[in-house]
Amino acid sequence: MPAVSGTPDNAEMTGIDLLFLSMMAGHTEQTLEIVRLVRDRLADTELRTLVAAIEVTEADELETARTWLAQAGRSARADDHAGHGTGPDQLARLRDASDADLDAVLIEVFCAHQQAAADLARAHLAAGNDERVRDLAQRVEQSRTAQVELMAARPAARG
Amino acid sequence: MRRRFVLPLVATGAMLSTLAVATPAQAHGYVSSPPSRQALCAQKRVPDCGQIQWEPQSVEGPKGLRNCHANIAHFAVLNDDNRGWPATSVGTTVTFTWVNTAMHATRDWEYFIGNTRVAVFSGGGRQPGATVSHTVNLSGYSGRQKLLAVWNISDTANAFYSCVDLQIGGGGGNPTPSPSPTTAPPSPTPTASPTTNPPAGGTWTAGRAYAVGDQVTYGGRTYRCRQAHTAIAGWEPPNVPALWSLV
Repeated sequence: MPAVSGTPDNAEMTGIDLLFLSMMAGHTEQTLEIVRLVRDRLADTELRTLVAAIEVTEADELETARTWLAQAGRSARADDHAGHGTGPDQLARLRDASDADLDAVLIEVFCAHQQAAADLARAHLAAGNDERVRDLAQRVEQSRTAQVELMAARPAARG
Repeated sequence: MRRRFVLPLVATGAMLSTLAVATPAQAHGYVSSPPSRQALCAQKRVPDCGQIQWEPQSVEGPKGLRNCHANIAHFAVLNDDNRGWPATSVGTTVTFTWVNTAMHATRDWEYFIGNTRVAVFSGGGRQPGATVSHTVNLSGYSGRQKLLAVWNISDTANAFYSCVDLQIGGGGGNPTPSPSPTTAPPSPTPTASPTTNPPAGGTWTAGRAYAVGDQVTYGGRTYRCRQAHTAIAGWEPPNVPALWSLV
């Protein structure tokens, strides 16, 4: 259940709000794809706990974004986020990683992925209109930044 | 005998999936801050822009153009200087942020005022991040100026164009064009190192590890942890019902 009501506000979302929501929806779909590739294979139990919490929180965010897009009469179109972030090559690295390497590969791929979300959210905070979308962007910016810090602090983090 | 038929089918499937990946990648990028003309349209700060308000990232045309609309007829509004484009007040050093909805391999980014190229940044033929920021020195310019920002793609003949109206000098530093301050709930500063000892209760604290069943207070209410996690800013209990339920 998302943390928002399904009631549309009087204020209409603008193009810049909907573009951000559409990009976040695409990005979050990729997050869930990454998580589902690795969640049962991670060795580090704290990393596993973090990834599981990311999965459930982002599933809610995705539902929120889709709900708002639908209310605005637009669906999350694939072309708005094509080519975004984590490509098939990175997903293949996760799929092919040995058990010994998986934690390190996940941290590398996922830190970059979550950093991209934080960057998009920060840009939206400087440009967006709708208060609900700005609030979402603020939470995305904060949570992804903190997740990157948590992952980088794990023993398997490289460099 | 059967194999002869299998191979073409496999090849066809591979071709289709390649197309499915390649064709939707039509998009793109634009300058979101300071707001470009297409950003002002997408924010509805400038009304009646037409289709561009829904796709500010799509001003794509051949490399080498020097206008705001990439010669796209239904984006011509962007090249109309008489639309009352608000100029953003800036100092002589300005940071431009691009939002990229598709991360094309990049030759470079160029910035023009009139016919003068005031800055160029190499892209090295690599894919940029989801956002890209460049700091450009505009000393030597003052007053109202129309700046053209260009993103030159390295593996196509095309570029993306964004015009940004600036009021240079007389105001310090970068603009804060945000229409309204954010009113997100106050969040405690996250501590750098998470602890692994769940508290027996108390106030929700970023950096703490919580286990299922732990109770905390936040904003005068009590919540019970539904799923184990380390608390972080942005995951305040009322914002993440997947992690906390109101008691």
